[in-house]
Amino acid sequence: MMISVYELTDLLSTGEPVSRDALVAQLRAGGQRRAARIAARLPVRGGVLVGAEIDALLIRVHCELQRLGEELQLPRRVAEWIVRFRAGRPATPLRVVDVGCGLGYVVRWLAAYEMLGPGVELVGVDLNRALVTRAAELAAAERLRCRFIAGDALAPGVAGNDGVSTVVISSGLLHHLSTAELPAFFAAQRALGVAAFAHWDIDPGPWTTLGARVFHRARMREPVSRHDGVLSARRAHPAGVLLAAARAGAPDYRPACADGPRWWPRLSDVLRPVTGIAP
Amino acid sequence: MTAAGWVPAGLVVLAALDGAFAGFRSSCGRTGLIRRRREDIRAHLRGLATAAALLGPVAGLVLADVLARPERWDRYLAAGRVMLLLYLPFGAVVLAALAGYAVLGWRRRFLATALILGPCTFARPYVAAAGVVLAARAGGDLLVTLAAAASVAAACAVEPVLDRWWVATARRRPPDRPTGTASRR
Ligand SMILES: C[S@@+](CC[C@H](N)C(=O)[O-])C[C@H]1O[C@@H](n2cnc3c(N)ncnc32)[C@H](O)[C@@H]1O
Repeated sequence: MMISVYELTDLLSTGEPVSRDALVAQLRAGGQRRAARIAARLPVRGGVLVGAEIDALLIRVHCELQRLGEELQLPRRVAEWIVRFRAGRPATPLRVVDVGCGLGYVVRWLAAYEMLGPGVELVGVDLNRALVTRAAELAAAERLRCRFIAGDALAPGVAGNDGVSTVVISSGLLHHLSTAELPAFFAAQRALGVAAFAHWDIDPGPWTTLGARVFHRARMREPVSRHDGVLSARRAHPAGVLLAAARAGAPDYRPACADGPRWWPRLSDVLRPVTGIAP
Repeated sequence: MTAAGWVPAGLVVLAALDGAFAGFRSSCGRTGLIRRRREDIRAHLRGLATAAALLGPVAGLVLADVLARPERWDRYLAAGRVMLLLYLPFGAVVLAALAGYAVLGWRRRFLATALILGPCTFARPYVAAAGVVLAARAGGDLLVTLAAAASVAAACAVEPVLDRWWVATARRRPPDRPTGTASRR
Protein backbone atom coordinates (compact mmCIF):
# COMPACT_ATOMS: atom_id res chain seq x y z
CA MET A 1 0.00 0.00 0.00
CA MET A 2 1.54 3.34 -1.03
CA ILE A 3 0.94 6.18 1.38
CA SER A 4 -0.01 9.12 -0.77
CA VAL A 5 -2.04 10.99 1.86
CA TYR A 6 -0.34 12.80 4.69
CA GLU A 7 -1.08 13.40 8.31
CA LEU A 8 -0.59 17.05 9.14
CA THR A 9 1.56 16.26 12.16
CA ASP A 10 4.03 14.43 9.90
CA LEU A 11 4.33 17.41 7.60
CA LEU A 12 4.61 19.84 10.52
CA SER A 13 7.29 18.05 12.50
CA THR A 14 10.02 17.72 9.92
CA GLY A 15 12.33 19.95 11.94
CA GLU A 16 12.85 22.15 8.87
CA PRO A 17 11.21 25.53 8.17
CA VAL A 18 7.94 24.90 6.32
CA SER A 19 6.51 27.27 3.74
CA ARG A 20 2.77 27.47 4.28
CA ASP A 21 1.97 28.03 0.62
CA ALA A 22 4.04 25.03 -0.39
CA LEU A 23 2.36 22.93 2.30
CA VAL A 24 -1.12 23.96 1.19
CA ALA A 25 -0.21 23.32 -2.46
CA GLN A 26 1.16 19.88 -1.62
CA LEU A 27 -2.00 18.93 0.24
CA ARG A 28 -4.26 20.28 -2.49
CA ALA A 29 -2.28 18.41 -5.14
CA GLY A 30 -2.85 15.19 -3.18
CA GLY A 31 -6.58 15.87 -3.01
CA GLN A 32 -6.47 16.54 0.76
CA ARG A 33 -8.73 19.57 0.66
CA ARG A 34 -9.69 19.56 4.33
CA ALA A 35 -6.07 19.25 5.41
CA ALA A 36 -5.20 22.11 3.03
CA ARG A 37 -7.87 24.30 4.64
CA ILE A 38 -6.50 23.56 8.11
CA ALA A 39 -2.94 24.24 6.94
CA ALA A 40 -3.99 27.54 5.35
CA ARG A 41 -4.97 28.82 8.81
CA LEU A 42 -1.68 27.96 10.52
CA PRO A 43 0.32 30.94 11.81
CA VAL A 44 3.07 32.24 9.51
CA ARG A 45 5.77 34.85 9.58
CA GLY A 46 7.20 35.81 6.18
CA GLY A 47 5.37 32.90 4.57
CA VAL A 48 7.03 30.35 6.84
CA LEU A 49 5.17 28.54 9.63
CA VAL A 50 6.09 29.95 13.03
CA GLY A 51 8.16 27.23 14.71
CA ALA A 52 7.17 28.04 18.30
CA GLU A 53 3.48 28.09 17.43
CA ILE A 54 3.76 24.80 15.57
CA ASP A 55 5.54 23.25 18.56
CA ALA A 56 2.76 24.48 20.85
CA LEU A 57 0.18 23.08 18.43
CA LEU A 58 1.92 19.69 18.31
CA ILE A 59 2.01 19.61 22.11
CA ARG A 60 -1.73 20.33 22.27
CA VAL A 61 -2.42 17.68 19.64
CA HIS A 62 -0.41 15.10 21.58
CA CYS A 63 -2.15 16.06 24.83
CA GLU A 64 -5.43 15.27 23.10
CA LEU A 65 -3.95 12.14 21.60
CA GLN A 66 -3.15 10.96 25.10
CA ARG A 67 -6.91 10.64 25.63
CA LEU A 68 -7.04 7.89 23.06
CA GLY A 69 -4.29 6.01 24.88
CA GLU A 70 -6.22 6.49 28.12
CA GLU A 71 -9.49 5.23 26.69
CA LEU A 72 -7.84 2.25 25.02
CA GLN A 73 -5.91 1.43 28.21
CA LEU A 74 -2.78 1.37 26.14
CA PRO A 75 -0.19 1.50 28.97
CA ARG A 76 -1.84 -1.43 30.74
CA ARG A 77 -1.70 -3.48 27.57
CA VAL A 78 1.96 -2.61 27.17
CA ALA A 79 2.63 -3.42 30.83
CA GLU A 80 0.84 -6.74 30.52
CA TRP A 81 2.98 -7.73 27.55
CA ILE A 82 6.28 -6.66 29.13
CA VAL A 83 5.44 -8.39 32.42
CA ARG A 84 4.72 -11.59 30.53
CA PHE A 85 7.94 -11.23 28.54
CA ARG A 86 9.91 -10.58 31.70
CA ALA A 87 8.45 -13.47 33.64
CA GLY A 88 11.05 -15.75 32.03
CA ARG A 89 13.97 -13.44 32.98
CA PRO A 90 13.08 -11.89 36.33
CA ALA A 91 16.61 -11.14 37.56
CA THR A 92 18.01 -9.34 34.51
CA PRO A 93 17.81 -5.56 34.43
CA LEU A 94 15.68 -4.37 31.57
CA ARG A 95 15.43 -1.18 29.57
CA VAL A 96 12.16 -0.28 27.89
CA VAL A 97 12.54 2.18 25.03
CA ASP A 98 9.43 3.81 23.60
CA VAL A 99 10.21 4.78 19.99
CA GLY A 100 8.28 7.88 18.92
CA CYS A 101 7.07 8.42 22.47
CA GLY A 102 5.50 11.82 21.75
CA LEU A 103 4.64 13.26 25.18
CA GLY A 104 5.72 9.95 26.69
CA TYR A 105 2.33 8.97 28.02
CA VAL A 106 3.06 5.24 28.05
CA VAL A 107 6.48 5.64 29.66
CA ARG A 108 5.21 8.13 32.24
CA TRP A 109 2.23 5.95 33.07
CA LEU A 110 4.45 2.89 33.54
CA ALA A 111 6.67 4.98 35.82
CA ALA A 112 3.72 6.40 37.77
CA TYR A 113 2.12 3.05 38.52
CA GLU A 114 5.36 1.05 38.78
CA MET A 115 3.72 -1.84 36.96
CA LEU A 116 6.95 -3.40 35.76
CA GLY A 117 8.62 -3.86 39.11
CA PRO A 118 12.19 -2.94 40.07
CA GLY A 119 15.17 -3.11 37.74
CA VAL A 120 13.37 -1.62 34.75
CA GLU A 121 14.66 1.57 33.18
CA LEU A 122 12.08 3.57 31.23
CA VAL A 123 13.21 5.69 28.27
CA GLY A 124 11.13 7.65 25.77
CA VAL A 125 12.67 8.77 22.47
CA ASP A 126 11.19 11.03 19.84
CA LEU A 127 12.54 12.87 16.84
CA ASN A 128 10.57 15.94 17.88
CA ARG A 129 12.46 17.95 20.47
CA ALA A 130 9.48 20.03 21.59
CA LEU A 131 7.51 16.90 22.44
CA VAL A 132 10.25 15.18 24.43
CA THR A 133 11.09 18.41 26.24
CA ARG A 134 7.47 18.62 27.36
CA ALA A 135 7.45 14.92 28.19
CA ALA A 136 10.42 15.46 30.48
CA GLU A 137 8.74 18.47 32.12
CA LEU A 138 5.59 16.49 32.73
CA ALA A 139 7.58 13.63 34.22
CA ALA A 140 9.41 16.07 36.50
CA ALA A 141 6.12 17.67 37.56
CA GLU A 142 4.93 14.29 38.82
CA ARG A 143 8.35 13.13 40.04
CA LEU A 144 8.40 10.12 37.75
CA ARG A 145 11.45 7.91 37.25
CA CYS A 146 11.88 7.88 33.50
CA ARG A 147 13.91 9.82 30.98
CA PHE A 148 13.44 11.27 27.53
CA ILE A 149 15.77 11.71 24.59
CA ALA A 150 15.38 13.70 21.38
CA GLY A 151 16.65 11.75 18.40
CA ASP A 152 16.22 8.72 16.19
CA ALA A 153 15.57 5.87 18.58
CA LEU A 154 16.91 3.34 16.12
CA ALA A 155 20.24 5.06 15.51
CA PRO A 156 22.98 3.15 17.30
CA GLY A 157 23.71 4.48 20.76
CA VAL A 158 20.71 6.83 21.11
CA ALA A 159 18.81 4.72 23.60
CA GLY A 160 22.04 2.98 24.60
CA ASN A 161 23.26 -0.27 23.15
CA ASP A 162 25.47 -0.94 26.13
CA GLY A 163 24.62 -4.56 26.75
CA VAL A 164 21.52 -3.85 28.82
CA SER A 165 18.66 -6.07 27.71
CA THR A 166 16.30 -3.74 25.84
CA VAL A 167 12.68 -4.04 24.81
CA VAL A 168 11.63 -1.59 22.12
CA ILE A 169 7.99 -0.57 22.10
CA SER A 170 5.92 2.00 20.26
CA SER A 171 2.34 3.06 19.88
CA GLY A 172 0.69 4.68 16.93
CA LEU A 173 3.99 4.80 15.08
CA LEU A 174 3.80 2.05 12.46
CA HIS A 175 1.17 3.72 10.30
CA HIS A 176 3.51 6.69 9.87
CA LEU A 177 5.85 4.38 7.95
CA SER A 178 5.11 3.27 4.41
CA THR A 179 4.96 -0.43 3.56
CA ALA A 180 8.33 -0.05 1.86
CA GLU A 181 9.91 1.46 4.99
CA LEU A 182 8.63 -1.18 7.40
CA PRO A 183 11.22 -3.97 6.85
CA ALA A 184 14.08 -1.53 7.54
CA PHE A 185 12.34 -0.46 10.75
CA PHE A 186 12.36 -4.03 12.05
CA ALA A 187 15.84 -4.71 10.67
CA ALA A 188 17.20 -1.71 12.60
CA GLN A 189 15.96 -3.23 15.86
CA ARG A 190 17.53 -6.55 14.98
CA ALA A 191 20.80 -4.76 14.19
CA LEU A 192 20.68 -3.14 17.65
CA GLY A 193 20.26 -6.60 19.12
CA VAL A 194 17.15 -5.73 21.11
CA ALA A 195 15.77 -8.46 23.35
CA ALA A 196 12.26 -7.98 22.01
CA PHE A 197 9.99 -5.54 20.25
CA ALA A 198 6.29 -4.85 20.57
CA HIS A 199 4.68 -2.15 18.46
CA TRP A 200 1.04 -1.28 19.01
CA ASP A 201 -0.97 0.19 16.21
CA ILE A 202 -4.52 0.35 14.94
CA ASP A 203 -6.16 -2.80 13.62
CA PRO A 204 -7.65 -1.32 10.45
CA GLY A 205 -11.15 -1.97 9.19
CA PRO A 206 -14.48 -0.29 8.62
CA TRP A 207 -15.43 -0.38 12.30
CA THR A 208 -12.19 1.20 13.40
CA THR A 209 -12.60 3.98 10.86
CA LEU A 210 -16.17 4.62 12.04
CA GLY A 211 -15.07 4.53 15.70
CA ALA A 212 -12.21 6.93 14.97
CA ARG A 213 -14.64 9.35 13.37
CA VAL A 214 -17.03 9.33 16.33
CA PHE A 215 -14.25 9.43 18.93
CA HIS A 216 -12.38 12.30 17.33
CA ARG A 217 -15.53 14.31 16.75
CA ALA A 218 -16.72 13.78 20.33
CA ARG A 219 -13.41 14.04 22.18
CA MET A 220 -10.90 16.09 20.19
CA ARG A 221 -10.81 19.84 19.76
CA GLU A 222 -7.90 20.62 17.46
CA PRO A 223 -8.79 20.37 13.76
CA VAL A 224 -5.35 18.82 13.25
CA SER A 225 -6.14 16.06 15.78
CA ARG A 226 -9.47 15.33 14.17
CA HIS A 227 -7.99 15.20 10.71
CA ASP A 228 -4.99 13.05 11.60
CA GLY A 229 -6.91 10.75 13.94
CA VAL A 230 -9.33 9.62 11.30
CA LEU A 231 -6.59 9.37 8.69
CA SER A 232 -4.44 7.16 10.97
CA ALA A 233 -7.23 4.61 11.14
CA ARG A 234 -7.35 4.55 7.37
CA ARG A 235 -3.57 4.41 6.97
CA ALA A 236 -2.97 1.64 9.50
CA HIS A 237 -1.34 -1.51 8.14
CA PRO A 238 -3.16 -4.85 8.27
CA ALA A 239 -1.51 -7.58 10.33
CA GLY A 240 -0.43 -9.42 7.18
CA VAL A 241 1.60 -6.45 5.96
CA LEU A 242 3.23 -5.95 9.38
CA LEU A 243 4.04 -9.63 9.72
CA ALA A 244 5.60 -9.82 6.27
CA ALA A 245 7.71 -6.73 7.03
CA ALA A 246 8.80 -8.01 10.44
CA ARG A 247 9.68 -11.41 8.94
CA ALA A 248 11.70 -9.68 6.24
CA GLY A 249 13.52 -7.38 8.66
CA ALA A 250 13.91 -9.60 11.71
CA PRO A 251 13.09 -13.18 10.70
CA ASP A 252 14.77 -14.82 13.70
CA TYR A 253 12.57 -12.86 16.13
CA ARG A 254 9.60 -15.06 15.19
CA PRO A 255 7.27 -12.09 14.69
CA ALA A 256 3.61 -12.34 15.64
CA CYS A 257 0.60 -10.16 14.94
CA ALA A 258 -3.07 -10.95 14.52
CA ASP A 259 -6.05 -8.97 13.32
CA GLY A 260 -9.63 -9.65 14.25
CA PRO A 261 -12.27 -10.54 11.69
CA ARG A 262 -12.68 -7.59 9.37
CA TRP A 263 -16.45 -7.30 9.47
CA TRP A 264 -16.93 -7.95 13.16
CA PRO A 265 -15.91 -5.12 15.52
CA ARG A 266 -13.28 -6.07 18.11
CA LEU A 267 -13.84 -3.04 20.25
CA SER A 268 -11.48 -4.00 23.01
CA ASP A 269 -8.59 -4.70 20.62
CA VAL A 270 -8.57 -1.56 18.54
CA LEU A 271 -4.81 -1.46 19.08
CA ARG A 272 -2.86 -4.70 18.70
CA PRO A 273 0.88 -5.28 18.73
CA VAL A 274 3.31 -6.79 16.30
CA THR A 275 5.82 -8.54 18.51
CA GLY A 276 9.11 -10.36 18.20
CA ILE A 277 11.53 -11.93 20.67
CA ALA A 278 15.25 -12.39 20.12
CA PRO A 279 16.31 -15.99 19.48
CA MET B 1 -43.59 14.50 45.52
CA THR B 2 -46.11 16.14 43.21
CA ALA B 3 -45.38 16.95 39.58
CA ALA B 4 -44.92 20.57 40.68
CA GLY B 5 -42.01 19.36 42.77
CA TRP B 6 -40.35 16.61 40.79
CA VAL B 7 -40.31 18.33 37.40
CA PRO B 8 -38.15 21.28 38.50
CA ALA B 9 -36.15 19.07 40.85
CA GLY B 10 -35.46 16.55 38.08
CA LEU B 11 -34.44 19.26 35.63
CA VAL B 12 -32.10 20.84 38.17
CA VAL B 13 -30.43 17.51 38.93
CA LEU B 14 -30.00 16.74 35.22
CA ALA B 15 -28.63 20.22 34.51
CA ALA B 16 -26.18 19.88 37.40
CA LEU B 17 -24.93 16.49 36.17
CA ASP B 18 -24.71 17.73 32.60
CA GLY B 19 -22.76 20.79 33.71
CA ALA B 20 -20.34 18.74 35.79
CA PHE B 21 -19.69 16.35 32.89
CA ALA B 22 -19.26 19.26 30.48
CA GLY B 23 -16.65 20.67 32.85
CA PHE B 24 -14.87 17.34 32.86
CA ARG B 25 -14.95 16.98 29.07
CA SER B 26 -13.58 20.47 28.65
CA SER B 27 -10.66 19.65 30.94
CA CYS B 28 -9.69 16.42 29.20
CA GLY B 29 -6.62 16.30 27.02
CA ARG B 30 -5.29 19.62 28.32
CA THR B 31 -2.33 19.06 30.59
CA GLY B 32 -0.99 15.61 29.79
CA LEU B 33 -0.51 14.75 33.46
CA ILE B 34 -1.00 11.16 34.60
CA ARG B 35 -2.43 11.40 38.11
CA ARG B 36 -5.37 13.68 37.74
CA ARG B 37 -7.88 12.84 40.41
CA ARG B 38 -7.79 16.28 42.00
CA GLU B 39 -7.71 18.01 38.65
CA ASP B 40 -10.75 15.97 37.57
CA ILE B 41 -12.74 16.84 40.68
CA ARG B 42 -11.97 20.52 40.16
CA ALA B 43 -13.05 20.21 36.52
CA HIS B 44 -16.43 18.73 37.53
CA LEU B 45 -16.98 21.49 40.08
CA ARG B 46 -15.99 24.14 37.56
CA GLY B 47 -18.58 22.72 35.16
CA LEU B 48 -21.20 22.74 37.89
CA ALA B 49 -20.47 26.34 38.78
CA THR B 50 -20.51 27.43 35.14
CA ALA B 51 -23.83 25.65 34.57
CA ALA B 52 -25.27 27.39 37.62
CA ALA B 53 -24.01 30.76 36.42
CA LEU B 54 -25.43 30.30 32.92
CA LEU B 55 -28.72 28.61 33.85
CA GLY B 56 -29.39 30.67 36.98
CA PRO B 57 -30.59 33.77 35.13
CA VAL B 58 -32.97 31.70 32.97
CA ALA B 59 -34.41 30.04 36.07
CA GLY B 60 -34.69 33.49 37.68
CA LEU B 61 -36.69 34.84 34.75
CA VAL B 62 -39.04 31.86 34.80
CA LEU B 63 -39.54 32.32 38.53
CA ALA B 64 -40.24 36.04 38.10
CA ASP B 65 -42.76 35.32 35.36
CA VAL B 66 -44.55 32.73 37.50
CA LEU B 67 -44.62 35.00 40.52
CA ALA B 68 -46.08 37.81 38.47
CA ARG B 69 -48.60 35.57 36.66
CA PRO B 70 -49.16 32.38 38.69
CA GLU B 71 -51.62 31.03 36.09
CA ARG B 72 -48.70 30.40 33.72
CA TRP B 73 -47.06 27.89 36.03
CA ASP B 74 -48.99 25.00 34.45
CA ARG B 75 -47.55 25.79 31.04
CA TYR B 76 -44.00 25.76 32.36
CA LEU B 77 -44.75 22.55 34.18
CA ALA B 78 -46.12 20.86 31.04
CA ALA B 79 -43.05 21.95 29.07
CA GLY B 80 -40.66 20.86 31.81
CA ARG B 81 -42.37 17.51 32.07
CA VAL B 82 -41.88 16.58 28.41
CA MET B 83 -38.28 17.77 28.53
CA LEU B 84 -37.69 15.58 31.53
CA LEU B 85 -39.38 12.61 29.84
CA LEU B 86 -36.86 12.94 27.00
CA TYR B 87 -33.76 13.81 29.02
CA LEU B 88 -34.23 11.32 31.85
CA PRO B 89 -33.82 8.17 29.73
CA PHE B 90 -30.86 9.78 27.96
CA GLY B 91 -29.28 10.63 31.31
CA ALA B 92 -30.04 7.14 32.61
CA VAL B 93 -28.22 5.58 29.65
CA VAL B 94 -25.19 7.79 30.30
CA LEU B 95 -25.18 6.99 34.01
CA ALA B 96 -25.54 3.28 33.27
CA ALA B 97 -22.54 3.51 30.92
CA LEU B 98 -20.53 5.27 33.61
CA ALA B 99 -21.45 2.53 36.06
CA GLY B 100 -20.39 0.03 33.41
CA TYR B 101 -17.11 1.89 32.99
CA ALA B 102 -16.51 1.55 36.71
CA VAL B 103 -17.27 -2.16 36.98
CA LEU B 104 -16.22 -3.58 33.61
CA GLY B 105 -12.51 -3.92 34.37
CA TRP B 106 -9.80 -2.25 32.34
CA ARG B 107 -9.93 -4.54 29.33
CA ARG B 108 -13.60 -3.94 28.57
CA ARG B 109 -13.92 -0.39 29.85
CA PHE B 110 -13.48 0.97 26.39
CA LEU B 111 -16.83 -0.56 25.40
CA ALA B 112 -18.68 1.94 27.60
CA THR B 113 -16.96 4.80 25.80
CA ALA B 114 -17.11 3.39 22.31
CA LEU B 115 -20.70 2.21 22.40
CA ILE B 116 -22.41 4.73 24.65
CA LEU B 117 -20.47 7.67 26.09
CA GLY B 118 -18.81 8.84 22.85
CA PRO B 119 -21.97 8.53 20.73
CA CYS B 120 -23.99 10.20 23.52
CA THR B 121 -21.65 13.20 23.54
CA PHE B 122 -22.18 13.29 19.81
CA ALA B 123 -25.98 13.10 20.14
CA ARG B 124 -26.29 15.42 23.14
CA PRO B 125 -26.95 18.74 21.32
CA TYR B 126 -29.55 17.09 19.09
CA VAL B 127 -31.33 15.50 22.04
CA ALA B 128 -31.21 18.85 23.84
CA ALA B 129 -32.73 20.61 20.83
CA ALA B 130 -35.43 17.96 20.49
CA GLY B 131 -36.37 18.78 24.09
CA VAL B 132 -37.02 22.39 23.09
CA VAL B 133 -39.30 21.29 20.25
CA LEU B 134 -41.28 19.05 22.60
CA ALA B 135 -41.43 21.82 25.22
CA ALA B 136 -42.70 24.29 22.63
CA ARG B 137 -45.52 21.95 21.69
CA ALA B 138 -46.41 21.07 25.28
CA GLY B 139 -46.17 24.64 26.61
CA GLY B 140 -47.98 26.20 23.68
CA ASP B 141 -46.64 29.63 24.57
CA LEU B 142 -43.88 31.81 23.17
CA LEU B 143 -42.35 32.75 26.51
CA VAL B 144 -42.24 29.13 27.66
CA THR B 145 -40.59 28.12 24.40
CA LEU B 146 -38.05 30.91 24.80
CA ALA B 147 -37.31 29.80 28.35
CA ALA B 148 -36.80 26.20 27.19
CA ALA B 149 -34.57 27.33 24.33
CA ALA B 150 -32.56 29.63 26.57
CA SER B 151 -31.98 26.93 29.18
CA VAL B 152 -30.85 24.42 26.55
CA ALA B 153 -28.59 27.04 24.95
CA ALA B 154 -27.13 27.80 28.38
CA ALA B 155 -26.46 24.11 29.10
CA CYS B 156 -24.84 23.65 25.69
CA ALA B 157 -22.70 26.74 26.28
CA VAL B 158 -21.02 25.36 29.41
CA GLU B 159 -18.35 23.40 27.54
CA PRO B 160 -17.46 26.08 24.96
CA VAL B 161 -17.30 28.69 27.73
CA LEU B 162 -14.91 26.50 29.69
CA ASP B 163 -12.91 25.76 26.55
CA ARG B 164 -12.37 29.50 26.20
CA TRP B 165 -11.42 29.70 29.86
CA TRP B 166 -8.78 27.02 29.28
CA VAL B 167 -7.35 28.90 26.30
CA ALA B 168 -7.25 32.13 28.29
CA THR B 169 -5.55 30.33 31.18
CA ALA B 170 -2.98 28.87 28.80
CA ARG B 171 -2.24 32.33 27.38
CA ARG B 172 -1.69 33.71 30.88
CA ARG B 173 0.68 30.93 31.97
CA PRO B 174 2.10 29.42 28.82
CA PRO B 175 5.27 27.66 29.89
CA ASP B 176 3.88 25.86 32.89
CA ARG B 177 1.11 23.69 31.56
CA PRO B 178 0.41 22.87 27.94
CA THR B 179 -3.25 23.49 27.38
CA GLY B 180 -5.92 25.11 25.32
CA THR B 181 -6.66 25.27 21.68
CA ALA B 182 -5.63 28.23 19.60
CA SER B 183 -6.81 27.13 16.20
CA ARG B 184 -10.48 27.57 15.37
CA ARG B 185 -12.65 24.59 16.15
C1 LIG C 1 1.82 9.67 16.16
S1 LIG C 1 3.24 9.92 17.13
C2 LIG C 1 2.93 8.73 18.40
C3 LIG C 1 3.09 9.36 19.75
C4 LIG C 1 2.89 8.46 20.93
N1 LIG C 1 3.56 7.20 20.82
C5 LIG C 1 1.44 8.26 21.22
O1 LIG C 1 0.95 7.14 21.13
O2 LIG C 1 0.77 9.23 21.58
C6 LIG C 1 4.61 9.28 16.23
C7 LIG C 1 5.91 9.90 16.70
O3 LIG C 1 6.99 9.07 16.29
C8 LIG C 1 8.13 9.87 16.14
N2 LIG C 1 9.12 9.05 15.43
C9 LIG C 1 9.01 8.44 14.23
N3 LIG C 1 10.10 7.72 13.94
C10 LIG C 1 10.95 7.84 14.99
C11 LIG C 1 12.24 7.33 15.31
N4 LIG C 1 12.90 6.55 14.46
N5 LIG C 1 12.81 7.68 16.49
C12 LIG C 1 12.15 8.48 17.34
N6 LIG C 1 10.93 8.98 17.10
C13 LIG C 1 10.32 8.68 15.95
C14 LIG C 1 7.58 11.11 15.46
O4 LIG C 1 8.41 12.22 15.74
C15 LIG C 1 6.20 11.26 16.12
O5 LIG C 1 6.23 12.18 17.17
